[in-house]
Amino acid sequence: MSFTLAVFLGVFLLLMLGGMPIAWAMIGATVIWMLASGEVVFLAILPDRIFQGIDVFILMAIPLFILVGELLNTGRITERLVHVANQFFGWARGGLAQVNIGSSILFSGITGVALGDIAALGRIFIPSMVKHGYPSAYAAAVTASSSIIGPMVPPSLIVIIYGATTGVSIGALFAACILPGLFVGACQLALVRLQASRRGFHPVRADRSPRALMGSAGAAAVPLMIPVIILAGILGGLMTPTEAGSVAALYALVIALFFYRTLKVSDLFGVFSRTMGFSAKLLIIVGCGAVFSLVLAIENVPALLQSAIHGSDLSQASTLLVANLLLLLIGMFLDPTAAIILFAPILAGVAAEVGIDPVHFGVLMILNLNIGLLTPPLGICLFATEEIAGCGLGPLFRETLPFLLVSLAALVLVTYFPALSLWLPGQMGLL
Amino acid sequence: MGAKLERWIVGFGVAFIIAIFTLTAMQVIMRYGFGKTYFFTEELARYFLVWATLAGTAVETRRNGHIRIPIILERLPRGIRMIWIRLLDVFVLVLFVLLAWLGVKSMIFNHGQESSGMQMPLSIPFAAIPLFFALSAVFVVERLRRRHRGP
Repeated sequence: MSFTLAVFLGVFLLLMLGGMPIAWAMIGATVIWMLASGEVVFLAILPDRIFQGIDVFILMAIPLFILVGELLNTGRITERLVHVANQFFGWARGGLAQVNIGSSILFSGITGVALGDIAALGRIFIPSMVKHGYPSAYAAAVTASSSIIGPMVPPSLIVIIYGATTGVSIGALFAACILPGLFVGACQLALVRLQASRRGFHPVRADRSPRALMGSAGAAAVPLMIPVIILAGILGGLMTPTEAGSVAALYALVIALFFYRTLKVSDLFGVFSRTMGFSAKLLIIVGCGAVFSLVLAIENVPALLQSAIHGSDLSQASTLLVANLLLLLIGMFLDPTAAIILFAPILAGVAAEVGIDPVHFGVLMILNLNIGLLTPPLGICLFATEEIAGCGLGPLFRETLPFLLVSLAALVLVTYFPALSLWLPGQMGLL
Repeated sequence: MGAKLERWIVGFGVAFIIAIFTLTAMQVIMRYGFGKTYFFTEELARYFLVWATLAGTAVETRRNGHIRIPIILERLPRGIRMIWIRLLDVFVLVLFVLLAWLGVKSMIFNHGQESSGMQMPLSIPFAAIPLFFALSAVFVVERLRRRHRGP
């Protein structure tokens, strides 16, 4: 590693771990690198790189998907989905915890961001579970753990960022993430079932007559058309992800304003304003990431990593193991968006070198980084649910540990059985 | 002054998001409903995305809302933490001023070039960089002054 590269990475880590916003830490490290290496001539292209990093058609899907989530949350349509999940998942032991996970699976098709899931569902489920006798740390642990399913089941913002960064087909990635996402959800449901018997958690009482179930399914069909529109539009080749996002947002606007009438015109300014703020927080990292990756390219980091992999003569299975460990480590410290911007182009190149399918690797990276949201020291989902539950981070992590282990076991299976990821996109002719 | 400026930027940012939504939805509706496509919608929507992102960046700078990792910072002793936060703010201010200045140069450089679709001078979309980084710098100065005065 050259001296200037060491300075660059050192300054970036110092600034980022020192609490500077990640986007500015990238720019700050780049400017220091330019001064240290005498490459000040590159300063002039900083604005152009930021501009070009954001000026990408596919990235327009991000504010549009966020808009869909905001419209449904503000229009209280999320609560309807929770009611449906209650009827379909709540009959089992540990009913409310099962409903929590089931809602994450249903809701995941709508926000695609783990923190969005917690913001919307955590405030509903955590107090409700505590009221029904669940320890608050357990309620928070179930909410945090199930929130990582959201970014796996389409539409997912992380998938769009991964596709835009690496050039892998977003349609194929969407299709490839579905089964692994559902698999993680199924593993968590099974764990709750086991824990419920041991800890005496009861089912949720609700009218589950065929008529009630039919009515409930009918009511849910309206908002659940959103993931259908997005998936059918993209996978059917009718729309780009950006266009699918805009059609889904239009549909969400119409159902919230005119069908359910739970959204008022006066709410719209707040909806658009929050969409702008959240999009900007993600997209400025993408823009500044374009600057950061320029330095990595000039310092020849991708080639260095590739030659290190070649030199170590690892098999594909060992490379997958090393990649998983590395990604878990990255996920422990970095937000998934930043992690993808920084590492996906390099690691995807290395994975392709050893013959790992780019779509399969994309699924692994996304799943790993999502699991990182549950791990200390920077498990953002743990912090977010602890803030709602007020149970303390220690008890919360102890309750989260079994869910973390189950998710890691699911990760191992997804890693070594590529068919779990690749079968569906293969069937759809997307590979 | 800062709050008023923030409200104006939010207003513009909301208009940009509405424009992105409208243009992309219009693109699909016109294509499937009327069999027509317009050459300008995609390009215009992309430029609005840049403007909305940078407007939101300035707003989130004022709200201190950008994605960061505060865990180590929060564990520092209060005195050291306050000094470190001010140092970070000064460094960020220098970066914003630098980006605003480089942005003006880039805008002037790009003025002679036109966009591929609408033949618009590229200085117009590029103006977002100097404008919003300058506004972000104003917000950091406001924060530094507030911290200097104390609670």
